Amino acid sequence: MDTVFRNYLCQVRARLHLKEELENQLISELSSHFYEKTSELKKQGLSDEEAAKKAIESFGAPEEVAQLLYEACSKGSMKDALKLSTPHFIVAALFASGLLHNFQVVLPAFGVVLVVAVSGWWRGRPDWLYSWIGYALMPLFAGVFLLLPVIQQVIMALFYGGSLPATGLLIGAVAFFLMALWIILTISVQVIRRDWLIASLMLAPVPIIACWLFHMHYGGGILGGSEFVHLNQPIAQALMVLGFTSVLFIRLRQRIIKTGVIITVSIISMMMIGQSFWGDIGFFGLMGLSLVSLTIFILPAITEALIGQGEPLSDRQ
Amino acid sequence: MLTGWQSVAIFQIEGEVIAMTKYTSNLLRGNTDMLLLGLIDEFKTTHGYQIIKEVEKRSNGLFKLKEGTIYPVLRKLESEGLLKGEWKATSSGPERRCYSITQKGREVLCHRRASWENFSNAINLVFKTGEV
Repeated sequence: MDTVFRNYLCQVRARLHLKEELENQLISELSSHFYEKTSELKKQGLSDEEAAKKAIESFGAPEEVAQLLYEACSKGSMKDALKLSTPHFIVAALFASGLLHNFQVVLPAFGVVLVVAVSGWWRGRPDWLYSWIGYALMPLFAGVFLLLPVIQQVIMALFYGGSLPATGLLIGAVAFFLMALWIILTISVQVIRRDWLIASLMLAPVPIIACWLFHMHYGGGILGGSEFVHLNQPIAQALMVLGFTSVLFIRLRQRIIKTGVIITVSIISMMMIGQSFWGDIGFFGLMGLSLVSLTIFILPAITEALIGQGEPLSDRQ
Repeated sequence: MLTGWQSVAIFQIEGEVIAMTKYTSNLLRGNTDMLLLGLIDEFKTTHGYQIIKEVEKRSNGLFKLKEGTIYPVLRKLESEGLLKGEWKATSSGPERRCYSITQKGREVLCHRRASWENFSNAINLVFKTGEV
């Protein structure tokens, strides 16, 4: 295939953000069109280079073609939208009903989330799967958060002296910490390769749950928690809002609008949580929480820019 | 059914109608779906390149599609169940994705054609009345 057209296809593909199989099909379709066009132009007497140049000119800008293809192919069905929002509603219901401290309810609920996430991951990773993955990772996020004081103690002991935690606890904590981070990063990177915007949506509940963990942990312990029942309602509301945002996300076609919706909802949710948890936190407090939301939103985009997106073009394409 | 999301194949208007480019282009954009469905219905099964060539030929070169932008329209029509696409091997060169119209597509085309004819008849009637 002509190198210039290969570059053109790479530019289109980098902006598609669709499922790999569909991207392959679209790129093959464009390649086949290019082949027919250049063959005809060559029959008219043009050289290989002239034919390729003219064919590329006739295609339109890669940004425009990619944007139109995304808008044509990215819209999911209402069924997909409901599937995407379901885990948000499940966890919101756990908070709203105050059952989050009841392990007989929480463990089966997260078991279901985990089973759906793992089976979906091995069955083609449909677009509705990513919120399930986000919540399946949540116990790992919580574990990492809970282990932070142990890790902090280890670092203090290593650099400034002091006592290390008990050997068993230390080995277990470090092993879990590293394993959890590895799983979170590996999965996040794979989702980011698929589409950083989906990764941002997947990670959207993280700051909300982190606020809750932070508040519980430093307010007297995460496993007791009966004195923090008043925190459940704002968390449930924020997760419900994320559930409805997911429906919008999968039903909208324009990427720019999807981006705007997620940013707006993430920031508003965090502000709601901040006000509910810590009362009047003032202008700078609100700005700080907005910045946290924005950072978590933008992190996948930065990662994608660093690691690249999708698979390279094969020789066939 | 086809309203809400505009047809997005971009037309370049050539010839003597430059002053009407924007107006004509808007008219065409709103009817790209109907044009493609009509052509595919006529050919029974066809591919993007042939559609572009045919549109250009039948319009005496007046409607020139930006070629990369026809595929989003075809994919959208396919996702709405109006077209069916399948890969077919060719004697020379790579496989092509060929499209055929579905029963639902035929019904939509019939409806769109009737609407278009009613609309253009109504416009003609208004102009005719003005002349009298």
